[in-house]
Amino acid sequence: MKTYALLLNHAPDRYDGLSEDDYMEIIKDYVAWTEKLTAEGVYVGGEKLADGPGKVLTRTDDGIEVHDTPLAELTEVLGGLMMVKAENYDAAVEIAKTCPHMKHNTGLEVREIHDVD
Amino acid sequence: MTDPDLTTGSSTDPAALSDQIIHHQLERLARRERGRLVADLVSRLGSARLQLAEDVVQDAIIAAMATWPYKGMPDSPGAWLNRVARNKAIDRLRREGRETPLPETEKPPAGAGAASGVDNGHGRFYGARVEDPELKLMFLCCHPDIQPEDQLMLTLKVVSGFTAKDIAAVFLKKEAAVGQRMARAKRKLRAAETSLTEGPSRFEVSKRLPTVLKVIYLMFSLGYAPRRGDALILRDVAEEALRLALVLIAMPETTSPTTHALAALLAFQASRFDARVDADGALVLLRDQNRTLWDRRLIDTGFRHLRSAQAGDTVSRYHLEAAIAASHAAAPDFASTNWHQMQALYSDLEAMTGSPVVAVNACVAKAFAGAPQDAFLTLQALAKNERLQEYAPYHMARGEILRMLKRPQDAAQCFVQALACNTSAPVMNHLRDRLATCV
Repeated sequence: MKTYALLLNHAPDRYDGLSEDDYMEIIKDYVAWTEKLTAEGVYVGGEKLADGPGKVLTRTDDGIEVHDTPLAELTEVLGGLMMVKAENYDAAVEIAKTCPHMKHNTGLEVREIHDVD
Repeated sequence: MTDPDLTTGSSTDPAALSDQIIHHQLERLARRERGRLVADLVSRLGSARLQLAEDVVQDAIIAAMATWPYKGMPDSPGAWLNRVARNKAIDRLRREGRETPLPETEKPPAGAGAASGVDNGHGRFYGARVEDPELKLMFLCCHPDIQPEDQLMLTLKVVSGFTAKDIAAVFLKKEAAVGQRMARAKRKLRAAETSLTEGPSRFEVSKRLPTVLKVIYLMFSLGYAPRRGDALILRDVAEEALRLALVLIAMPETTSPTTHALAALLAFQASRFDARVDADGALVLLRDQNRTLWDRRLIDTGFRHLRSAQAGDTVSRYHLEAAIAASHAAAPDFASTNWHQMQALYSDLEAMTGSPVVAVNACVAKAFAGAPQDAFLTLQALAKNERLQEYAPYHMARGEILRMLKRPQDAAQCFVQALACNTSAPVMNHLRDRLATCV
């Protein structure tokens, strides 16, 4: 078994202006999915990244420059990550396909977590 | 009808079932726990902190919605929300503390209630012992300094966990206006600076009881017939309202014939929940309901409280409504409904309340009592009431009576108008079905 990270991207303004009820409808799908995978022993864990701009560090000849994430220029931001167990990439992709993120957003990235063993 | 394999498949698949359970759990949490959490915080911090309590509970719910999809649901979601809300309250109070010249205190707000209740032996002796935190909060929000209708709106909002939009629909008012009135009510409450730890006196409790009963009645109505969403009935909301009514009956300060009448009414209405929704979640009208599905235990509860309600000579609107509901409960089938008695009760109720919604129901009873033409004319006369124009059951009633009068095309128009109003998805489907039978 390997562990795969699902990197969940969404448009920066995806959740802006949603009513609590509408937001709740989306959340219900995610929680139900996470709970189901947890019950099956497939879900390992996850983290939600805080909304709003983060910081971008750039090394230049003059030293390190620090800027806010240029949200307005981005079509997608990383919203959070989830980790699941799977035999291989194909199996991980099959799991990822059932993630409600593919219903409520347009895409995600699956990455294998580098295991030293 | 839908594919039979598909419908049985969805209800027996354990994965789909647990999915439904989680959807339901979250729905309940956001709505149901909100009132409980706010009540808990206010009982620690005092009514002047109602706004803060509402804010931090809202923040906790938002935090839950942001993180639970990734972390999964905590083992005890209610306790999780409670802890997060309390921590947020402590943070806020600390921050406020820094802005004032008073030295910062490390004491958690849980201690604040005890501190303010130092010398309340007197109050405790004379005061009413309302122990249920939600009821406490209700009595507190029904403060006489606040205008009567605002008391209703504020209390319903705080206790039921419904949004200003839902509340606006109940009062047939605009959402923005309701929001402003609630903000005003909270300011008044803050100015009044009552301490919930002491609670209103016994005298105050009896003065505020009618408003509290009305809030419970409205809360039940919101659960019984939601104005939007996928569910035909929000059972947990309705059942909570019934529970609150029964708690009031159990306390000497708040039990009264009127309280019994309200409990009777709610028990009768709740007895029909299983029969009112079919296996697909669709609406089943009273005339088509399988009466063996009516909950006998709740009907018995209803009759028991109706008897207690008759002690003394009070006749409240709950007495009349409970009598109407009892009359339905007593009829073995739809055909044997005593429509003449029903019509008489409705006309008393209409005279007592002057409510246009009651007037609509009175017309329906009149139509079934054998005077549909007469009933239709009365309904048409109600059309100038603007509030009814956005009330789906009004148009629905007109449609049904027009069908009785063999005027399907006119009936179709009424169902179209009903579809334009705010109502739940199952009622929408029902209206579409009715519309289809008119062409």
